[in-house]
Amino acid sequence: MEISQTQNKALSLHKAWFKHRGWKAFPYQEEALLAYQSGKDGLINAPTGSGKTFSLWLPILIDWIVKNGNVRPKPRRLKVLWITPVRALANDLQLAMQKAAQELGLDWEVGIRTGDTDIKTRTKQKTVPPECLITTPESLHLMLSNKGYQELFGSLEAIVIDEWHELLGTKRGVQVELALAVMRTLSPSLRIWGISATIGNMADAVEVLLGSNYKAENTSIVRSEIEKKIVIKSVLPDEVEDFPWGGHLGIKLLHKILPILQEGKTTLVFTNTRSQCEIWYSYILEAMPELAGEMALHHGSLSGEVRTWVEDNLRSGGLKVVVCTSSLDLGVDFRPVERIIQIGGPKGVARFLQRAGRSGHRPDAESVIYFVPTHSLELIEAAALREAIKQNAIEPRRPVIRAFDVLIQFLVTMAISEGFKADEMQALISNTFAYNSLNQTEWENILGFITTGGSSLKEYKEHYRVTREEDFYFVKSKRIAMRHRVNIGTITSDVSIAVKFLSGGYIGNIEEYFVSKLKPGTVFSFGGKNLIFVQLKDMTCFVRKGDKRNVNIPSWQGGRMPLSSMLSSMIREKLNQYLDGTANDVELEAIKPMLDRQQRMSLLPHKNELLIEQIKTKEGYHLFFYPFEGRYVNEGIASLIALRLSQQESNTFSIGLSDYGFELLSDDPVNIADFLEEDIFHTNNLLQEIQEAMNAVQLASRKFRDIAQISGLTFPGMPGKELKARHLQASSTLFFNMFSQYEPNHLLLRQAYDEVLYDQMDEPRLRAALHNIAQQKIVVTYPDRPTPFSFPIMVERIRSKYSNETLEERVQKMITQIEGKK
Amino acid sequence: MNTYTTHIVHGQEFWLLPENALYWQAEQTLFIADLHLGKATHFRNNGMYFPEQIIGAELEKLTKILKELAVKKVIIAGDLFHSKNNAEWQGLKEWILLFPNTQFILVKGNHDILPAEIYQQTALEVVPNYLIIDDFIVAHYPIEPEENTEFKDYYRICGHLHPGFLLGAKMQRRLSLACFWFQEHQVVLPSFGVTTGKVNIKPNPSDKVFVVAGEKVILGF
Repeated sequence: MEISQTQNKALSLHKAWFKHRGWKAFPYQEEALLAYQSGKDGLINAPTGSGKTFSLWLPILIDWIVKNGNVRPKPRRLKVLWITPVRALANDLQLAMQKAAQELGLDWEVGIRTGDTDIKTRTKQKTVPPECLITTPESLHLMLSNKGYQELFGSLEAIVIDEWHELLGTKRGVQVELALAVMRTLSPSLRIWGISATIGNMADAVEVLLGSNYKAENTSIVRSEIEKKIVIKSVLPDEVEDFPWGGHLGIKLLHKILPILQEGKTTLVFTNTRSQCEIWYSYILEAMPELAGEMALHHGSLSGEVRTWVEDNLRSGGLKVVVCTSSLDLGVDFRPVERIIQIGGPKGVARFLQRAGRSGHRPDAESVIYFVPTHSLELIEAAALREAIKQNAIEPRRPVIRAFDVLIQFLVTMAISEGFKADEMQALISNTFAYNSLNQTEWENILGFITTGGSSLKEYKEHYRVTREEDFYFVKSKRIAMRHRVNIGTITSDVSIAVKFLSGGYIGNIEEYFVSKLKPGTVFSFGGKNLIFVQLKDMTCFVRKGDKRNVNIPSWQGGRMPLSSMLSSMIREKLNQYLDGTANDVELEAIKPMLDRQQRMSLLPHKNELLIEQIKTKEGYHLFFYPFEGRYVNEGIASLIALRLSQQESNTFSIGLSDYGFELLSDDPVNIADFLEEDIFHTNNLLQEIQEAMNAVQLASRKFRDIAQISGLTFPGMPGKELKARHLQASSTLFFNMFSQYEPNHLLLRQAYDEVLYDQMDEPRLRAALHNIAQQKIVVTYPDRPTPFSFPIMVERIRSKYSNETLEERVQKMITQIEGKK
Repeated sequence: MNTYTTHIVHGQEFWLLPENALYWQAEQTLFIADLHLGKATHFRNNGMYFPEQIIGAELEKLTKILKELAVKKVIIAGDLFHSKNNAEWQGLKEWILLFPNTQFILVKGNHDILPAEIYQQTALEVVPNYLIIDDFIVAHYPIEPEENTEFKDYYRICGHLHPGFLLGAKMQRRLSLACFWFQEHQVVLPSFGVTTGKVNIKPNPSDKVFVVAGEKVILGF
């Protein structure tokens, strides 16, 4: 490749900066420099801790210096937007970026604009903008709702979207796409770059980011060559029980984890759910009381203040142990972290890699991650993960498309600030990946919705949100504008209840569902504290400090991730290797007795086999199926099969579920062999049957909560204040019911059903799973008692009926019964 | 033949209509509560969405009842109109005139905040707190049994709560249905309005709860 003079100059500035730091640029960082300089858009694919921020920030600064010299723009203009999904990351980014600019001798200012930015700073940013602004998708949309945004953003040269893999596949990602489409129209020479960890569909990621502006020849995907060496060490139980069940094994392994905690400088303990996080925190503290003051909890329901404190202390090395959930998956480097412990199967390869990457921050350091199974079957998952990493098999992220709620919110945003012309806006929107399939009717329906509230553009005498004059759309009312701005930040929020001390003092948020089950006086553990529930008032759960034992741990519904299809296929791969005798993982070796027992009692299925077990117990007639498709898809298949079986022969089934398989329990026997002569796994009429089987109405009604809030149907109230607007409260359920009855074809209602179908039931994966089953050989076995595979599913089903202690007793009794039959 | 579900209180038989109304055949009196008329328009005037198709649905339901049953009196246990005056009030005024032989009485609820002169311009009688008919007292607010002192010999007919009752045990299969909640001392009527939500009640063992399931009213508890 021929190198031009400007490129030469850029490269030497680049080299000099790295030399000044005592580092050496990685080849990918130089590649990014040249790609950026040539005016391309693109995506940097690099893991955390590999200098990914510098891989774009330096090229941007150097490009400016080469073209303009070491001077600020005159007059001061905004040149770079840096979008991050996590508000908490902004401060660290700012420090690092400001410092790098100084070292290059460029007096650019790096500013921050998030929900935490005060009014004074915001005003100043408007009159004297910094050269670079770090912001979040929500704050960016808030800026678009202000008059004069064209002036502010018209001078942009580059936009960087950090951690794009986290935004892709969410509605916030769609917000980014829309904002980018606006920026393109303001400044056509804009360069757009994403930074992403490795995902299975890297090429899609860049296409979604760039929308219809994507052209292969103008786009670079720069891959960091840094291969982090990841070592998975499973914490093996001394004795593997043949009848595994979820939950209890983890804590039994506590004594094996303590030494790991002691020897490391700082250890992050990842759990899969917020409840697990609370449980582990209290157990570790009990076993190592000397950790008090050096150990902390971090999860998404704790107050921002607590979380920031934990993050700061992680960075400064003030904490030895932090027990956390996916809330710490993201983020800038916590250098002192040396060890990672993962409790329970992480359910996905990408997530596991990200967590593993939290330790060993030097690019050449190896990352060690300890895996603690919560039941022995999960050890297969560890082996499967190792295989997936070896094969570089990582899950793709499916982008969100056609989210009408986000579009409606965006259109009102644009109507508030400067207003828009319908045809120009339509062109802008169809440039995004999310909405390029929007048809004319849908577009007109949406315009109708924001203006007249109907699905048409006909005049209606009482007004609604947006006013139309000929082809121009705008918002007249200040009150509507204010209310809308409050709504913009709500895309991520769930219905949650604040937890506060009676004496004041906010602790965090908890799900309404959990609070509704509490009685005054009940003790529960939250944020590592034991709290006594006093009362629920004004969406606040008031508590006092308590110290009683025997506490409840809140459950958060969002916490449970299903096994990814990537990982489930790896699990089957591993079982295959085991059967062929080619597996050499310690984990499989450890659970050999259990696998062999499964093989003896029933069958250890090959990849091309679907195992069905029929077992009779005192409880009734059990059918166990093992598609290994993850909890959601298993639930879909289970409901479908239950429906089909009961259509042919009247019967009622209870359903039990795990990531590996499912159970159908009935009082009456089912002659499964007869049913299998017909194809009960067919996909004809799948859409309709699955919606019927899983009560899609109920699920859609729940999805509709978010949709109603994002699209501005419901109004959450001004933050911290009682709803002032009199008589303007209505619940999303009410809207859902009204739409269902009076406007059954409404776009927002359709969206709710689509979300149920794609996110919840994962229809594409369900269909693929059924097709896969059609290729498999179905093997039915009739064991005389529960098998190692079926046992954990049975326990999951009865779990909700018993408290923790009685569940333990009950399970022991079940095991004794099985063993007694031998 | 009467095919309605009935319930007897203080020796009087009441019909439980699936339109969320209570009918006292002996006195040809209809009891309804919580219509919240004007809510859709109130929202729209404030820039918040409500489907326009819904406007007028309550009056249509009421028309149907008045055509099918002999009704001399319609007694509304509060919350007839949702908020400030708007176009829907005019619609109500004109609608009432279609039924010159029926007496309409409103016992005011917390939402009934229109100025007195507006009520005076209609054929509607307005009663501020309660109305007594025989053994019965109509009021907007329900009361706890221990608060039931002043009128303890009367059976209370009230609204305000918009009661719903949860059927089904499993989370995903649960369904909340509007209900008539009969207690020892009072009945809480389901809301007649179609723009109102529901609040799920927790009945006592001695209570009777009738849920409205489509075209039928059935004993749910």
